[in-house]
Amino acid sequence: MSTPVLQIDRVSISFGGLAALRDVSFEVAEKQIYGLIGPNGAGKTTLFGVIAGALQPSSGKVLLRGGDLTGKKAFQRVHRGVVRTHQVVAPFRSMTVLENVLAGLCFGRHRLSRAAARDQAMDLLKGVSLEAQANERADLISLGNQKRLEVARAIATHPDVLLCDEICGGLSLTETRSILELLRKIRERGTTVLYVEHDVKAIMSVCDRVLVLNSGERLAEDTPEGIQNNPAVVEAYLGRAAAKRV
Amino acid sequence: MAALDWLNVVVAAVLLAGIYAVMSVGMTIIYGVMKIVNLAHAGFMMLGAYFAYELFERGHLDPLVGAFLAFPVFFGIGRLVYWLFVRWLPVSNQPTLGSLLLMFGIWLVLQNLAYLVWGNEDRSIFTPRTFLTTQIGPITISTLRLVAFAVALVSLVVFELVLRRTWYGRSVRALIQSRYAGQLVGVDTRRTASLTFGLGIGFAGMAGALLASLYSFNPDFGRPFLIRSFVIIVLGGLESASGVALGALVLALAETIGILFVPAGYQLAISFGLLVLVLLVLPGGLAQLFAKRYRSA
Amino acid sequence: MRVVSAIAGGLGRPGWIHVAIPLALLAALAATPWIGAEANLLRLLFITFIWTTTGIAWNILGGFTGQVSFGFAVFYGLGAYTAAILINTGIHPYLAFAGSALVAVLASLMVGVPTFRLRGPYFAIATIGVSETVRVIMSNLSVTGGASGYRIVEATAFRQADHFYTGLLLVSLAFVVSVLISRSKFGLALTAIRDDEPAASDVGINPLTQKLAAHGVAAALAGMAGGVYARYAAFIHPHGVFAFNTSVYILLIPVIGGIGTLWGPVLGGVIFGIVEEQLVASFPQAHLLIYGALLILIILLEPGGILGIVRKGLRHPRLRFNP
Repeated sequence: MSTPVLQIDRVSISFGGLAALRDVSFEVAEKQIYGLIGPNGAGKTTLFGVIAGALQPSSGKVLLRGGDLTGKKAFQRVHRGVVRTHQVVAPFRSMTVLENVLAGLCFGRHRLSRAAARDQAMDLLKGVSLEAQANERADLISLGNQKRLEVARAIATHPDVLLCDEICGGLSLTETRSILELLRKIRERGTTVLYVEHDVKAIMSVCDRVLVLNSGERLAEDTPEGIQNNPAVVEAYLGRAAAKRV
Repeated sequence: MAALDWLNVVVAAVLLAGIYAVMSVGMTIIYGVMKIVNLAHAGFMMLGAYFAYELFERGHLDPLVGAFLAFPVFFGIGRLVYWLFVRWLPVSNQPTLGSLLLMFGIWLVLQNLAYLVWGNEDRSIFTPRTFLTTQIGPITISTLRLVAFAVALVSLVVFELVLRRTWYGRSVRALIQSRYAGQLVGVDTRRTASLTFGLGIGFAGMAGALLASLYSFNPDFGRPFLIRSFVIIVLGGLESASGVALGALVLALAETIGILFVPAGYQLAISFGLLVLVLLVLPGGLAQLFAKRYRSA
Repeated sequence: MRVVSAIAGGLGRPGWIHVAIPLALLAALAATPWIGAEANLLRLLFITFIWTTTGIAWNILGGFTGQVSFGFAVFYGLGAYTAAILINTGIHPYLAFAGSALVAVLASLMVGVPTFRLRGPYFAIATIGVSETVRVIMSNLSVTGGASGYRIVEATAFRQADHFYTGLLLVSLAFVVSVLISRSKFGLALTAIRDDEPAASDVGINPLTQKLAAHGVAAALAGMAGGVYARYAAFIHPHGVFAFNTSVYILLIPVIGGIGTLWGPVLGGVIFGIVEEQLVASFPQAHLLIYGALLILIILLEPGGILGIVRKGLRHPRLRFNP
């Protein structure tokens, strides 16, 4: 197997006296959708923050194709090939949908000029079914569409790895299914996806491999089926009685 | 300089720090709770000075009593200003363009109203106490400064108690740390904001009244104090009155010592220079010196 | 409708009308000395050109990028003194203005580098002190005349038309720069930073360098405005060019006209140029009070300024000003 595209190497982080993450390690292979789940307080958001660069670990490293990402600011990570979406959508509100995507194209890895990027931007919008809203202000479209816009804008930076932060929050069942379909399309185009999610069903339906965190530590890492049949995981979520039934 | 002279300098700095602390507490809580940089703070301080002045000139009221009175009066004014103007501002966890411009507009209005009413000559308040000095051991202190310091200290202690013991204080601390989480646990943000604004202006008015007995003033009086308040916020952080006190002390020390080496006209440059220095070296404030390793990249 | 939308800055692709209207305006203004306009009108227009330029400059930083500066007069003043000193050495005025721009850019870096790196209102607060600090320093600097001011002596005689056209050239330059920025990738980055700085960083924009660049362009324009003014006035002093009031006016111009828009600062500059003289004459004490009240009203009622009102009046929900 080739070099994993993303390596998390013994990452630990403490806030004051509280250890939020303890020696978490895993690898993400190319063109995978890799899920990250865990019960409340497990440290998923914290781990996501470390990988995205918002938090600095107390120890351990995050490596992109072998290169250390530690200390790199957000825009530097984008230029290396790692881009994130936000749990609370953050479109550029006074810009149009098209301009939001243009921003990604102009300042991501390919740094196109505004004029040159226009056609690619429309293609990306078509890819997320937003081409009809291209000239709408980004703050006037629906939440589901804003989430798609966020994905389109992120993809516009031509990343190797897309970090998705609870992208299904607040969406209806249909919207969720279509966002997940979008993630599959992204994987087909060659981008790796690291997906943190609360919604376990969503993860199970779309991910190739899943990492389960509990209390800041790695609990299990397997295919979705493996995870679902893992008594330790069930116990972490639902308690010992439920685990016995697995 | 002899050790005794240094001691005098330090004592003078401590006394000044007390007043600086009172001055910046007001701006600090408004910024911490509402993320509004109260540029009109200078204007309210200036009004506080004139308040004490008018009470003294017309009512022959001791300016220190005037300072105590200033607090409730300006508390009311603060709540009024909040109700009339500030509550319409969109809420954010970052200072917004609109809030900066609004407070600046209010400051302009206050300053120029003062010019209209009182003109631009310097005013001062002279009482028999103005020239008194007290001996404490080998040190000579201006009595006025000592009393002003005592007033400041009392109000800060009361404020810290309010922060720690009352529902309001808890709300304030909650909102400072996370507005969103505060709302989730049921903090009444509107009411807390209104009270906070009132308190902030109350402190500003009181600080102005205190300073009126120490320095001469005119409508433009507040501006250097605005910068100082902000330096103190940057130095001391937002979490507590003790942070403010520490920041005030550092600034007061820098100024009192600086005056020995630099001509008086450059005093503003000292506080401003300190601001720039701190921003370059210690953007997390003094707390950064003591903080554990949790840093955003 | 299209005419109004063109004046308002236009949306989408620029049509002929977006170029025609500004050019027509330029031509009309350029003709004024020729058609024998009286000296007072020319003077008023010249002052308007200067104010409008500073307003356009401030708007690039405050409107496009969302970074409010309360001390913009510092660049105006530095530009004025730089040009004054250079012109007195015999250099061609336009070279002196280039010097003004350069000095202003350097000053902008000194303010921007410590403050733009940080999240929070540090930049805005710092700007309150910068202008004052420089004013105090310049007032004590005897080599430039200190508080009594500095006189400019030009080798050539004073010709009003000369200054008029220089002013017109300057404001046209400022406007063109503003348009180019708003249409470019750079403008996109600035808007992104204004809307959501962390998200801007998350798509690969480096907020620090972009803010420094915007600040630099704005400072350069304001510096040149100061230089052009200094040459006209032939006498400058710290309390005038570095005055807090000057910073206030510079800020008010785009806010009144329409912050963040292309024509807002122009509208604001025109209004200000006309009104300020009258206002100061009629209400010498109260005019700043009126400005303050106006600022409050604008922020509370219509943050988009006059152009915002026009936009709402036309009930065109998508009329935006940064194509």
